[in-house]
Amino acid sequence: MSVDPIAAEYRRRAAELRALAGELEASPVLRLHEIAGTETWSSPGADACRSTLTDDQVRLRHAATELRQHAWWYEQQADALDAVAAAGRLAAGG
Amino acid sequence: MPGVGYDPQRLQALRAATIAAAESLRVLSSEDPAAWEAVLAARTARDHLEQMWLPLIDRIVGSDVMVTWRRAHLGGALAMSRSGDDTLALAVSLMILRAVGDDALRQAFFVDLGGRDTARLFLELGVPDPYGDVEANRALAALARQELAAATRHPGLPAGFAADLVDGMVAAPGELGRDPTGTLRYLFAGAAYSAEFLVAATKASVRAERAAADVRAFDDPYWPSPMVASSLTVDLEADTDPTDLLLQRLGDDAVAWRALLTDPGAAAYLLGERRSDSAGFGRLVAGAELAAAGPDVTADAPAALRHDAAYVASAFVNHVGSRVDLSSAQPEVSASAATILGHHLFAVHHDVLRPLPLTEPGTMRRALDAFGPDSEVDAPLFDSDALAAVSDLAVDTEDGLATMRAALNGYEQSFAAAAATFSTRVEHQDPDDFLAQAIGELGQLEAYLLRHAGHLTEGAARRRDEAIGRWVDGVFAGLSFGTRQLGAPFPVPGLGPEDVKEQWATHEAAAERRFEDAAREWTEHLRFLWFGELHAAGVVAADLPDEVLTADGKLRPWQELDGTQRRIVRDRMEENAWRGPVDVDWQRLSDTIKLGQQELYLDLPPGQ
Repeated sequence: MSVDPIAAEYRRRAAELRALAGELEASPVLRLHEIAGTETWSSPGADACRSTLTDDQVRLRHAATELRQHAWWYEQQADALDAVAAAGRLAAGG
Repeated sequence: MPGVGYDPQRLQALRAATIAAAESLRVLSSEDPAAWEAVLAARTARDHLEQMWLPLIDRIVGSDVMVTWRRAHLGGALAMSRSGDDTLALAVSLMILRAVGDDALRQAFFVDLGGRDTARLFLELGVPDPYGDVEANRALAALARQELAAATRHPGLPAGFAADLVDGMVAAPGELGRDPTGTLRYLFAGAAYSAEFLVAATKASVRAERAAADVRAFDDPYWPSPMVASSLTVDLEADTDPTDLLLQRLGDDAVAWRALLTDPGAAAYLLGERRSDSAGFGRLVAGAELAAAGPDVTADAPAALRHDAAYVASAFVNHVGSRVDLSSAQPEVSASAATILGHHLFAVHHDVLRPLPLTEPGTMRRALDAFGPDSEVDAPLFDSDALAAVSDLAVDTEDGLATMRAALNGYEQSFAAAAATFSTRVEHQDPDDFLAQAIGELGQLEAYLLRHAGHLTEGAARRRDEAIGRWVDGVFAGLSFGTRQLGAPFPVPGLGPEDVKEQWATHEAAAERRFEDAAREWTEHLRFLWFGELHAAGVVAADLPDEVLTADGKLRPWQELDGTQRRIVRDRMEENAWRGPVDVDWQRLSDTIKLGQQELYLDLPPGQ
């Protein structure tokens, strides 16, 4: 448990980002291509939709990865702040 | 799935999944700056699903045109496009049609597609889909329109195709981007269709307007435009409604106008009910004039053509005569009315002599005694009230009045010539009585039209005086026509038509006397007309010197005679009896003419 208030804020934000990443990765949009193939529809418009979907899915997965990276960085910062705070307490208390 | 198409069940499942995916992205949110990129990616993906995927899926679900045009096989040619998609298939098909230029192939394509799916094809190509290739669709539409027009010209399309096409437009689902009005404008604005196709489309357009009459307020447009117009309309210069545009496209094709206006429903609606701007109504009336009295409506034209022309004349008089907005008609409308009545004066004459109310336009085999028993013709029937209204309209302008006057001059001459000739036939026991009756009948027609010139606005004395003044002017104009056509005599010394018109219009006492002088002179004209025709027919054998006769023994035109010769002719005409094989009592003729024209002098409505 964080003792430093800033570290605690970092951990809250990290948790939020990880939750958001989880929701992104669970969205049906990432599986929409499974039922949107040429066996369902075939036309230039359908091709354009599939192409756009592929791009969107790449961006969403990339965004989820970045959210987790940010969360990891926040947690690292929180750990560092907590370590500094613990060292300070030891030095003060002897 | 090869080529173009879709699986309806899978597409419905895809639609549901797309909605679920969009909803899952809608709830994603975060205020953390580190999440901004993720939130933006989610919003972008959601926009694509809602604005691109769902509209496209709905378009496909709502339309089977992609499937149906695949049915329009072009032999093996279309197989070339099977590896492509729907638009490519259509493009290849149309390009093959154009390149091959085979009439039968082109006809087969559109016959197989049918009118309704052809309508939907153009509707779909015009949907302004921001993610579609609008320019490519417009190019395809232009190609399809060109091929469709070619198919209508040769070898032609089935009789119901044009009606199905218009019906398909009208029945188009009211979804975003569907624009029947704009699509019809696009279709009919820029291609050379056959006249038969245009007539059939016009009839269908009229039927659609009439069918929607119950759900339309009196001032609603007949063809409302949607919020989002078809992308096919961007280059159109005017937003004319489809029916007006179709009428415009009929141009000066008398056969096409006749085909349209012999449809009782279309004629009643267009001529009697439909609101138009002045230009539109002018075009319609000009078309009716072509159909009823155009250059091809001649005495030796095929009987079917003359019958149709007579029907259009009947429809014109009866429907236009029932309009409540006739008082605002343009001068061109008056001129057309005069031309139609002038061309059918035989029928007008018949109805003047025996007026009848009429509920529906029609024609009937009719004869007038003066023309003899062989003169029966397919004549238009006129409702007496409608004929009176259109007669008022016809003489309401200078051009209309001049047209009527010229037509009347020609008719009077032919009537007099026919009666004079017919009176010589041995079966007539009492030829002078026959002639007196014929002259009286002609006098009634003259009086009827003359009275209508002065009968326009009974309640407005000034206006009425002006109208009579114009007719007086027309009498003199008629004399000049007569000089050319009939050899009509008796110019009034020192009295110009403008003088008479102005003086009569200002109601000077002298003007009334001048007007009576003019009417008397016109009576003289009729007398000269009859005298000349009776002389030509040998009915009277007046003691006329050779110098007043032509080489074949006919009376020379009045204006060719010098003063002495005119006095001689006038003296012969003043004799009480015109002697010859038949003794014609001039006093009886004179009295009959005066009786027929007494309405000039008395304030009686026509026919009393």
